[in-house]
Amino acid sequence: MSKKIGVYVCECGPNIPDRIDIDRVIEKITGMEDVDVVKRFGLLCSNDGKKFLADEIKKEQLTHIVIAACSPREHEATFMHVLEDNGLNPYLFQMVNIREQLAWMIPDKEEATQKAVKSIRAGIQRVILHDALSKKEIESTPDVLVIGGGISGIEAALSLAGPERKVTIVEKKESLGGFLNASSGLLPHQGTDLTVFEGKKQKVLDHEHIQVLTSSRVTDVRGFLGNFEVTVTKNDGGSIQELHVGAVVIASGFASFDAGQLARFGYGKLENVILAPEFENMCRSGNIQLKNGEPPQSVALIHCVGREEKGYCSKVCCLYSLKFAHLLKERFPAGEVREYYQDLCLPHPADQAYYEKAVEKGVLFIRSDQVELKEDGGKIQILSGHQKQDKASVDMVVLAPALVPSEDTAELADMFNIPLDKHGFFKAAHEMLDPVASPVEGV
Amino acid sequence: MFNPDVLVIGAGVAGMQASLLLAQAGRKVVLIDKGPLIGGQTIKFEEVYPNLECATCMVSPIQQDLLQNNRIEWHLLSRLEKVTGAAGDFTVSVSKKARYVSLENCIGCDACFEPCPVEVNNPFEENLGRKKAISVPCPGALPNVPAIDPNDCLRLNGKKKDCSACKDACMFDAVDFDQSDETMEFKVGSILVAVGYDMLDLKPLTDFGYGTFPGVYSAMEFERLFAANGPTEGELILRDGKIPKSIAVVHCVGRKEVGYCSGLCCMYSTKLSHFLKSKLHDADVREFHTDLCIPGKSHQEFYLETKNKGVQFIRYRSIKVNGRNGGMQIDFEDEAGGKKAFPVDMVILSQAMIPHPDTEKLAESLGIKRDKRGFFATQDLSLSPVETGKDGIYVAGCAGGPKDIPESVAQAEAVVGKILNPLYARIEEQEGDSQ
Repeated sequence: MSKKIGVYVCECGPNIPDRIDIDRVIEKITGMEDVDVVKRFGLLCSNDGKKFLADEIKKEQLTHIVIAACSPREHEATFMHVLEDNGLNPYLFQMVNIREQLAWMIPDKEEATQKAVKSIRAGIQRVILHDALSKKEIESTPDVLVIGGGISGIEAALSLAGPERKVTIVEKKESLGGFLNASSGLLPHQGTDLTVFEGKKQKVLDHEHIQVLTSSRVTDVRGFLGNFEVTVTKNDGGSIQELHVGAVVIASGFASFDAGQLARFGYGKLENVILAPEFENMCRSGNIQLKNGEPPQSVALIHCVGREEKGYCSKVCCLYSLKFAHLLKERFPAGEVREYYQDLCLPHPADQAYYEKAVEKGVLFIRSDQVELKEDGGKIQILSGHQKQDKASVDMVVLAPALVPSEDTAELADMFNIPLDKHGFFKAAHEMLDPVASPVEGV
Repeated sequence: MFNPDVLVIGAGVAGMQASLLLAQAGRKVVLIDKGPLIGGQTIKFEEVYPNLECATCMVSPIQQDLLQNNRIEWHLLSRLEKVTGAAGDFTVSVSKKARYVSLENCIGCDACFEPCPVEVNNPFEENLGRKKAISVPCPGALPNVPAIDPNDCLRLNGKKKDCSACKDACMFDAVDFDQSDETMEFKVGSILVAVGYDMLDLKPLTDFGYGTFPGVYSAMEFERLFAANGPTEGELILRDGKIPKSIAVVHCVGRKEVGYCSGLCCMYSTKLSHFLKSKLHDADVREFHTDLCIPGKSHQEFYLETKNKGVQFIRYRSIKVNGRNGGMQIDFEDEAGGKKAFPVDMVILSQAMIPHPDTEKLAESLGIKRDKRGFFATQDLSLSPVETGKDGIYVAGCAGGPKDIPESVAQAEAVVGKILNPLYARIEEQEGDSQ
């Protein structure tokens, strides 16, 4: 079929003719193969301009349009609508930017004019190669898979589930709830407690549009946004379930840095040196005690365990260590509580008062970039300060290990084709503006 | 029936992303902002930490999408006045100031600026630059349509009633002195408050010499000084015309006064030093900090990189900016208690982030609470961080307390999730009934 290309040069008021000789441009373009008409117009994006274009499309029975004007960011969509409204496929169109990239950039009129001619010629050559694209609709499902039944997965499922969207949560543990199941309590200064969490959990379990698969893992995934085929396998290998979902939320949580790697903290060697999650359990059960069953008279909380090795601050350790300090002071008002920190990271406005309250209660805060733990006749000796010159002895030490990616991260990343960052966490589609989307559409 | 339309207050990154997502899901959005442009605070920054991406380049595609989205009705120079009704059926009243320039006719050629006889300080440039009574806040502002400030314009403030210099220069009949302020009413089902934050006023903090010594800058002033589209086109020139050689960046300015750590200043201060070292390699740049609060998986690396560029990080116990032979010096007490001095020709103050000045009035209009520090309160900070406690009204971004860009966007997206699922609201209702 023969092509009839219409080429229109927009003046944009004085913006373009001041710097580009439009008549010369028209003269050079006129007569090019397949080019039916070349014209100029005052302001093509105006209502008059759009009407002019519409009339031209009809009158000249044009098949393709090239518009030389501003940046496509400004008005590509505007002109594509004009084509569509007048029976032309909107993709048989090319915009040539002669304002931002030429008129506003090149002071020499001759040079700008020549470049405009070249750019428009290129636009014409390009539009000839355009295909008449059409938008297709394909079957897809709105259902969503949520991997991980912790608080993130629970919140996501509650936000998503409804009569038109079924959500399946796949949780590898035996029960829903994740890390908070083992928590001794939320930060009281943040205004809520675990009953709210338990309430959300129950809501998920009772929800008619949410299916919870516990003791299960995602073992295979195929497909793309709108149509993922997912295989979920029971941990015992027994039953296998196939799911068809349109999108996937990965909320697989975190793991704790292996403090045993660092000899200076004596974890696994020194009795009564424990990790924060173990202390959470003690608080939850109400038995804060030493290995010999006695209550501790003095406890040290060590921040930043593994920070140097991992190369980042985990953000939450200062706060939960503060929570431990408060709990200890409530439980053992006469006991000694020491916090060894590098920098206090209390990034929310409500946090400072919580810290000050701990100071009031007599918690000792000791800044130290070096901490080493040693056996000290049944107690634990803490060496601190730049030269480890300061010494103190306590009954119990609680280490706050860095947060690291959960053990499933690499496997899931591989399965879903999501890149990992240098620390092994999932990468975001855009770190700033799309922080919760992965680079894979629909995940 | 629950009205699906949404009012978004504030066109910063949180408000813009929420609006676009809602529109993508087929919802109609009314987006209002009190300023003449969209983009919020982010567009004031040349680059954002930690990846040093150009902020305006990053935001401009979403600005464009937003301005061209036919499901988003945006109103600038507009403020919320009154809200009645309840979730699903709010009636909101919005006052809109006249722009005096037609958004339809103007093509953004800037021909009207030059003939305008009035030149005033430009608040967008933290008053480091000048603007005309008809102007856009900065090159690249979107929408690229100027506004006339009726207080500055001679015709509108009555000082020279026949002035029509801008109108005469406009070839598109875009200047319209007959526009007037108006009040609009909208019916919406949900409201998102994303008005952002403000920076603490430095003048009352006399220890830091702001306003006394011309070499003392606020962090935001420095951002504009560094910006390629700023008043010096990115050249680091002091108010006295000199190029600084010895610079102090002071953290935690006003922390004691407001009673909290803003959580972001350590990182943006580090970014400022990074900037300084990239343009002035030989400058002596020192960061004076208390606790370094650099949470986030990429932040420590950025801090170490800055340190490797030769920036010194010094922990202070107390600090004061004093005069010295016509210049300045930083007198400080270091960690060990030693009293020291550092002569400087530029001081950058990283001040606390505080609630947006409209917070009190908005909270009253919306019938929602503020927290002890004046930010919008959320139901709780752990498990309901975007719900205000009033059904159908949500908070995202710095309106609820300082947050970085990704956190603000994540909150905006969380709000959209809640708005899009009508069941979510109903679940809350049932819960309320049973209590």
